[in-house]
Amino acid sequence: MQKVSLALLKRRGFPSTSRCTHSSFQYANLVVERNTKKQRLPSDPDKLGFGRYFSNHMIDIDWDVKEGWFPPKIRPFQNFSIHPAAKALHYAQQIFEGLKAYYGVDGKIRVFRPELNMERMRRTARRATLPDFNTREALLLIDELIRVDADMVPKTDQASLYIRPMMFATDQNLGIGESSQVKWACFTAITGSYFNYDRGIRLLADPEMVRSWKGGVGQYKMGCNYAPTIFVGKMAAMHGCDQAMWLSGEDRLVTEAGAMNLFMLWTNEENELELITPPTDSGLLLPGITRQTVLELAREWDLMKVSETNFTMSQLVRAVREKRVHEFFVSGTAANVGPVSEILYCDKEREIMEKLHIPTMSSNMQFHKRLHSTLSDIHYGRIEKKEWQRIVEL
Amino acid sequence: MPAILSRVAPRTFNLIGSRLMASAARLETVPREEIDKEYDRKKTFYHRDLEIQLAGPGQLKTKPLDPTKLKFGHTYADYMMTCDWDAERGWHHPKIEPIGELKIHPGAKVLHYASELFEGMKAYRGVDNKIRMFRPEKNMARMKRTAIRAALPDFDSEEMISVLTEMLRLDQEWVPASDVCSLYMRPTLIGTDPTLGVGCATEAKMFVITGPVGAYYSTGFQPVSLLADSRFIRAFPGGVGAYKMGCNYAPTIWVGKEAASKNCQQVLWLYGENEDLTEVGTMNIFLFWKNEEGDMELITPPLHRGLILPGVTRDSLLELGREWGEYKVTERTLNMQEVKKALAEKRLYEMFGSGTACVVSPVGKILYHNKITDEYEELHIPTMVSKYGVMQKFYNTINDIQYGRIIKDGWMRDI
Repeated sequence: MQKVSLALLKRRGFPSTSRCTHSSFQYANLVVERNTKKQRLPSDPDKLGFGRYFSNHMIDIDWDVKEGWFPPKIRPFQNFSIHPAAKALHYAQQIFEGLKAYYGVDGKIRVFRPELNMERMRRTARRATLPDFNTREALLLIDELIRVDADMVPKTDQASLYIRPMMFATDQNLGIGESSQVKWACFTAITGSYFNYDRGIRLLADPEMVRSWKGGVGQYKMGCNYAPTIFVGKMAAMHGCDQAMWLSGEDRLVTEAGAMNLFMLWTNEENELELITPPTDSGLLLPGITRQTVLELAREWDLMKVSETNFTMSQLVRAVREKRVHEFFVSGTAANVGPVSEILYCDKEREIMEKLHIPTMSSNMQFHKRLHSTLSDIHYGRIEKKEWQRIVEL
Repeated sequence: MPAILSRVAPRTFNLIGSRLMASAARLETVPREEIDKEYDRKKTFYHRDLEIQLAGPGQLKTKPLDPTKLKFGHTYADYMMTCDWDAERGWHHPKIEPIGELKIHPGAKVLHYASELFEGMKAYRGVDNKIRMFRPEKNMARMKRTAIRAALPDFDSEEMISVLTEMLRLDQEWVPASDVCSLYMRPTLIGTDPTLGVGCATEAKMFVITGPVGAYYSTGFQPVSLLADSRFIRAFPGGVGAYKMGCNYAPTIWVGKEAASKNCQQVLWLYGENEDLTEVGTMNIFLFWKNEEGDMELITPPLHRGLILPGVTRDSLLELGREWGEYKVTERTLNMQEVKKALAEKRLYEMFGSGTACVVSPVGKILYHNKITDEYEELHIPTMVSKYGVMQKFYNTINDIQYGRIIKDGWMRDI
């Protein structure tokens, strides 16, 4: 692999466009410019929060409809210069991903199933009319970014390095249409825990607040799915809840919570113990990587029936009343697996706000805890699961 | 009255709804009286704080020789306005400076979670050489509503209009001296704080760019073909279709490509089981027909379900139509079956979009995807051969008002 500094490249007189490629950006063309300044971090991992402290470097790649992908750069983390007419700022032509790297107990850095994130990013790019790229090349670049900032990966199993690949439209033309210029970027942030799990997560379920719809883009990680949820999150907070739980349609299918997938462990109407999560084929919810992992683990353990089936709010309410709901939890890259302790349901028919207590925290099985610790063991290398752990060679 | 009406009667909020809405209502926009009373940068920025940085001689661009040929959104004037906000101090001083790139943190919410909204409005150089804005308070009121829904900061309309006026003074030579051209203005508000949590922005930036646009119809009206396919959706109840948030546009780009691949210029957005007509491209939709009771009627879909952007041109056409009193003017839900039936019975005379860019845009054809047969049907709309000239009269009147040939009280703001 050839890596030369930007200055050296200029001295050699490489015209930058001669190294452009159409099908994907190429790791082989990478140019690294080192940051001389270092970011200072709080020493207490509890103070890290989520996505507040950024690392020293970032990947920055430009794309142009004529030239294709320009050589990728790793450069000091710094502001973008964006034309005020860029489509990303007006029409939300932007997509992103979220994945994590962990500093293992053996001193190795592992990234959790990154190829799944890159595959999803490419599917999202197609829907957002942004250019495609090669999964392998993207993974090599992310490896390199982690290597360059390896000392930023927190050496504790209470924190991790959050990786945020993104792509957005940058052309300077206000017409609504495909962008002739695009930027692919990736940076990392040092991350502590997303929730306070001790008291469980509280969700607000209001059928009048809708996240996605058939024929829309709910299954893609496009920026546009998030903006409308911010106000709803604010309303949830006003009601003492942490997140909104999203319901869909007349029969109020339970779909997602906040920006996470959700699972319920219950005794179903057929009196079977069942782990249930809504299916992704409706197009209403994001096919989460943690979701997929939880399903795979649960099927492997074979302790219960595992179903990807829709369930409605009224089924949930009835099951809570009949004490058939044992655990309810959310899953996501930022949150890992998080227990839900309460759902505040705005029941429009009965005109009441009903507080549903979910006994997740006191359940005998503590299935969510087992999932959480197994995932954590895999993340931090206490358990070997090679096909899920991409080791970044230092 | 057709049966369809009862099915789509406005949903009244029941007790719970109103209780939840009550908490939202606390976030209502600040009324003007409060702004006048006291200087409070938590509520708005102020025109009196405006800082102007004049362009150096090298920074001024050459104006295009023939403005009528300018395409939308490709050419920008010399200046832009910017104004920063943060949760702690409120709005900073608004600035007018030479247009240039914005410095945006890679973690800014605008680049990840589409924390962004905009407006589109225009300034015109009248036949008397005076520059006027068309109903800017309407755009500003909508921008304020959108800001609340997008959890971005509120501001005062009149302060904003005063700042826009200042911009137009500086860039007055960019307002083309032609009664087919105008200066498009794009106020934008984005969330800029660099934290990755999906939540309220604690920092934001307002900016405005402007640019001259040429004749939309350089060779007379061009009827558009629409792709009508209910497998694609623009907006839904409980969503944000009624607000000018950036997030409503990104998903439409791919659908627009689908339409283009079928030789259609725009998408006719349908909603629900009955395939109700909602919008066309980024415009509102109007239909002129003889209804089943035999009345001549102008119809546009209503706003109450939150599926439709309350367009300023839409509002203007409704007001003019009602003022003229030549036909019935109705805001009601309309579905594809009704359109097809009216076409078959030759009762449908005109269909057109309405928007800031074009005023009106005639529809010539609908390529309708029949979801039962899974086949495409071509529906020809006789807008261009209509003997009633409803769309044409709207176009002429709005143009006359915008270029100062006729006065419509309260619609034009002189600079």
